[in-house]
Amino acid sequence: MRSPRGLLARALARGWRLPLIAAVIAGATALALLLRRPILLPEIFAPDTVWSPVVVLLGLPVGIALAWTADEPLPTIAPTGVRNTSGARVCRLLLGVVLWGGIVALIDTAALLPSLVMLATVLGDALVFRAVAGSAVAWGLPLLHVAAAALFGVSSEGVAPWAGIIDASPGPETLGFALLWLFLGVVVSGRTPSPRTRE
Amino acid sequence: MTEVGARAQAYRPLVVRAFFAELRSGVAASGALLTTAVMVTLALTVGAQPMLPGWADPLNVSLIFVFIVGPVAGGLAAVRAALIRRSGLAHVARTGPRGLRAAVRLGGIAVFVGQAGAWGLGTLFLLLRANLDGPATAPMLLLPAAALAAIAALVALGTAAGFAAGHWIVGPLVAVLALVVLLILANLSGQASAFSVIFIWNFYQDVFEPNAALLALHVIFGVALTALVVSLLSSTRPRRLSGALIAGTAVLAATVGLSVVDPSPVQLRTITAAEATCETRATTTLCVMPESADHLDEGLDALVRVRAVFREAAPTPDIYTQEGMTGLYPGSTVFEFDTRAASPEDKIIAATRAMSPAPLCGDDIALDAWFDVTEWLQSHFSSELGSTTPEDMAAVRALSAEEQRMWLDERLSVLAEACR
Repeated sequence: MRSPRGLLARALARGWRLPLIAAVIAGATALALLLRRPILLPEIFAPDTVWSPVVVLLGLPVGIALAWTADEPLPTIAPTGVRNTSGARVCRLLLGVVLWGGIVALIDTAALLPSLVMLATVLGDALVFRAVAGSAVAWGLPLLHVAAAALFGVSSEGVAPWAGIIDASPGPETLGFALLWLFLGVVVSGRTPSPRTRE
Repeated sequence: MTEVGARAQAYRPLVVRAFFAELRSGVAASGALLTTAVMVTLALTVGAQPMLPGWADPLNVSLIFVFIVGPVAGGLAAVRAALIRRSGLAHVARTGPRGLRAAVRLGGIAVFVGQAGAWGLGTLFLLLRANLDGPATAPMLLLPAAALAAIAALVALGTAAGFAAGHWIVGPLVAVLALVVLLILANLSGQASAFSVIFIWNFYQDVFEPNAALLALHVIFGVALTALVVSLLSSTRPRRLSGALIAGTAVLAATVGLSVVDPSPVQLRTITAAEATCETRATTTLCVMPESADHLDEGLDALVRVRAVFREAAPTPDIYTQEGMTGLYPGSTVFEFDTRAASPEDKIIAATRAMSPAPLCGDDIALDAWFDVTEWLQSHFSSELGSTTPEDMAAVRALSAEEQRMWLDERLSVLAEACR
């Protein structure tokens, strides 16, 4: 690549992904510590105002970044390699979930359950859509999910079943469904080592 | 046919073919399918109940859809531009007369077509479910225009970011950033709220329509921003310079316009006297918008009854109109009621407000007098309103008619003197 641009591309090709993911998690932690007040969601049909803790919403960038680790190591070579790397990838994903859960528990213990629902759902979304359309657009589904839940998730009938990610006090069935969705995402991402997105 | 014309015709099918090839392949197509699925599901499941009859509310929700589609469209465009720059196609495109930038522009257009199509399908399903038996005015059409302009601007910005960075990781960055910016803009207040792309918690009563000047500026801003990026991605340097100059000026002009325009997302509708629906009972006349005709009987009933209570104490106007119609009937008073809350009790409360409007200033004595008068009026209807009359008001009501009139006169004169 002779172009003077594409520094980012070249840097990332040299294995700067995991440090970048760590930077996203560190940045999210810093933001959660700085902005400790809840965010007003633009729920247009909700009878009352709906607030969500910053640390729960930060599950979105963290989930998108973690889904990226499913490509590691060496996305272009690993699929043709002799050794099966899916175990390592699944381990890395789950370690990321545990890491973020621990950080949330330290910052705001009350937000742990909603944060876990958010991260599991968002990560499940990203992994499932990654298996369909590739890593480059895997973030599309979780982003749509969060934006739609922030706008239309709450109505006079309460939180919609698909909008558990913005539920301030999710029930066990919401957490169960989120974990099941994450499990499905991990399974399909384990089966597809590095789906490529075409330009 | 000239030689140039013949060449253009030979060239066109190639452009058309390239366009469809772009539309079919990876990012644009998968993104379009994803957004379409989400939009159609949302349009079929969101509550149509809270939306008021007419075109304004469903079209406003379709503008709000930009909060969902816009960030994804911007992010997908960034991914697309970055992937095009890094792919083998870039080497081929560079050798062509139109260069790499033309391929990147075409990639952006494909993303826009896919995402705007998904938004359009969602809007269509929303309109099919909505109750359109209500006001339909020209400024309402500015709502979908502003939505399309916003999606186009976000796609353009995403394309520029992706082209500059050269790695698809800017896609999710652009998308999350756009989502955060849209959220912050939506929560602004005062003059700054004019810059918000979506107007949440805003429902259009029969007397209101979207603020035409504000939305027109939004359309101009979006289109100018798109034109700015497109001209920066032009193949030749003179075009880049001249285009950036013109579009940049337009962006600046729209920004200046937005910082002085009335930031309220609604404006009062204007109708002619011939269109208004009026009804007269005894000496009381009520005129409303044709769409609010269902409320005419109940509203007039409440006005006549409240007026009968009030007439002895103070002169009350004969003509009452909905907001925005006072100009049609000189000397008329505004009778302001919520067309959603259609119960007779709400009309009685609205009628007491019409007879005794709140003082225009925050003077405590005037406000106290106004509360007293309103409470006195409403105490006549306490059984219907389901309210309990406070003890001091019950004491006033127990006085003789003459004494009550003196008590009321005192307060009415305070109100008449106040805020001068």
